[in-house]
Amino acid sequence: MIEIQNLSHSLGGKTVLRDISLKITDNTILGIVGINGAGKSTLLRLLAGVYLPDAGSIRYDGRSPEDAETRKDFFFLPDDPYYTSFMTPDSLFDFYKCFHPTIDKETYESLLGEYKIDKNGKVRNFSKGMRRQVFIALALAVKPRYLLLDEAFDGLDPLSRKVFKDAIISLVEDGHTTVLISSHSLRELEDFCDRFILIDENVIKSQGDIAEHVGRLCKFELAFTEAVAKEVFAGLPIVSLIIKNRFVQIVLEGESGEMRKRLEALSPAVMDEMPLDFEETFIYDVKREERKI
Amino acid sequence: MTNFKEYFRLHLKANVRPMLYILAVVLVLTFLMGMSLQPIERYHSDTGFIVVDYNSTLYIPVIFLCVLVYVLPVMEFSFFKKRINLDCAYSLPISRRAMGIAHYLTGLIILFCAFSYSYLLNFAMLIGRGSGWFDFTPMIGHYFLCLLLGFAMYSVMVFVFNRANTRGDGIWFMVLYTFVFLLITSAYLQVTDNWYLSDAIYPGLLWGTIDTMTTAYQRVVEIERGSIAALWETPEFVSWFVFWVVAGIASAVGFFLTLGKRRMEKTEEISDSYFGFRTLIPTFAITGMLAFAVWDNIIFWVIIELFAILGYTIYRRGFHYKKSDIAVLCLLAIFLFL
Repeated sequence: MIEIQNLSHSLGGKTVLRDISLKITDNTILGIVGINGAGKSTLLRLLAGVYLPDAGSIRYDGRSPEDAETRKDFFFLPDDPYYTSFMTPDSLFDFYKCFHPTIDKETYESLLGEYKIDKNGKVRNFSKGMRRQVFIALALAVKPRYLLLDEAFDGLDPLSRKVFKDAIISLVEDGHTTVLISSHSLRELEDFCDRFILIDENVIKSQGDIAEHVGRLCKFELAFTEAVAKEVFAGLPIVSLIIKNRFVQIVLEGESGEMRKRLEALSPAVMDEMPLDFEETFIYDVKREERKI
Repeated sequence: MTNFKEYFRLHLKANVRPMLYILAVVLVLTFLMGMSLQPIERYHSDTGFIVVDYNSTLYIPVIFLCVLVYVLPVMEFSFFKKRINLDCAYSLPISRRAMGIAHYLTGLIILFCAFSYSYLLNFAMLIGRGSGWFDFTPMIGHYFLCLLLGFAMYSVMVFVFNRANTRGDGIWFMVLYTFVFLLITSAYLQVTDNWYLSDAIYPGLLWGTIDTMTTAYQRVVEIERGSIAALWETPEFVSWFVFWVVAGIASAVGFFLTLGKRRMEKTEEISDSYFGFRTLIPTFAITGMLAFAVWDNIIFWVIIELFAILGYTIYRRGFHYKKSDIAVLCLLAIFLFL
């Protein structure tokens, strides 16, 4: 289990994370979401022991990531991973084998095969997506207890994403790995993350189960026989309201059935419930925070 | 230290290619310089002029050593001056201390190999040219003295380079530290009216190692083939030798103590260390003004003020001076008009 307690961190005199506390249970896939500069990468770097926290603590089963022994249990894949100009996928494997002796060559080579990567090509000559594929193959071959992924889907084609997601799900299902993944592509996270945390304004603004979080909101499109004013909707738990003459799009916080009844009471001529995904929910959450609705 | 051996082995292996390049350069340059060995002719009453020996080329390995003490810290520690490298490196199961030690030792090994190789080539060349009169015995003592000075100077430069947050700042620090002792001593001599002592003191300060190392051979010869006690009869040499060795040990200790406290967050940021620009710019400016007071010419002082402004511009990477920088510049300006 990963336990984060009262974690705070500043970069260049600016607070990036403030008093963050979190418990991440084993064998889960946690999505870390937030707008640019929210502190997602900083949190992952702190978790990986790359940054040393200004205040608070991080514990992996009671052990600090600052201790090199603890880092044997995890693999951090940053946004732009390091390699030297002479490195090939084969020599990268040898490099990581020194630190993770149990790394599985078969898995590594099979993933490189799936990604159609030349094992003896120079990594520096690969495209960004290919480099990422090499490091993903390494990360999955290490089979770490904790896998920390920063913007892991960047530069990957749809097929590679699917291979990657399937491999992650398989690792977690084997009961072996806990995955923490940050991404801007929330649609990518939605279909395979168990839980999420939303970082905004240096703190965790919301967290929980993705499906429950999405189910918390409901979106309706209504048409009235004549133009309506926003006062008509007063008293409803509004997250977003767009009125264009007779037509209304409204996002409400609450159980869909109950919200439908309350809207029906306003006698719209037509009413449709629209599907909502995690990305839309995220946008509404952030915008609501900005507007302090 | 978790995984130290594995990392050290890998890092050393990765440095084989650069080391071979260095050895190739040493070979070519030693050979080219060795070609310039000039015969020394002596007059003999019976046979006329005869070749009695060839000039020593001891300066060749010494110059290599002095260049390498600057090149190797940059080569070994530039890795730690880029965030992109540290994201992966600091998340590996190896401590920052162990990683730093591996890089330090690799530099030391390259220094040892390159210097020893150059020294042996030089030795072989002297014998190959049929040098007979040249006394080879002191070369053994000279070799070890130079190696010790080289290790010390390398440690100083490693410490200095690692006070910076970028490679560029690190190189500036090494350059500034090469001259800072010269300026401090000049200022001291000027203030205490002991300018005449400068001939004895300067050689050890300016490019301290080259001069100390080249004169080391003479000193070793002076001790008449083996009498170590005679070495202490040359106090300037001994003082500078001791100075560099002590500075080297202190730097190595300082480097090891601060290794575990490296913060990735500061990488590529402004280099704010007290061992860096923050202290060096005022030190250079003040000691420069004191040292040049002997000429009593305002032009020198204006140049120093301009250099201080340039220094702060490099330090802050632009004209974003802080109050403390402006205060120092103002103080210097006041000093200038007094």
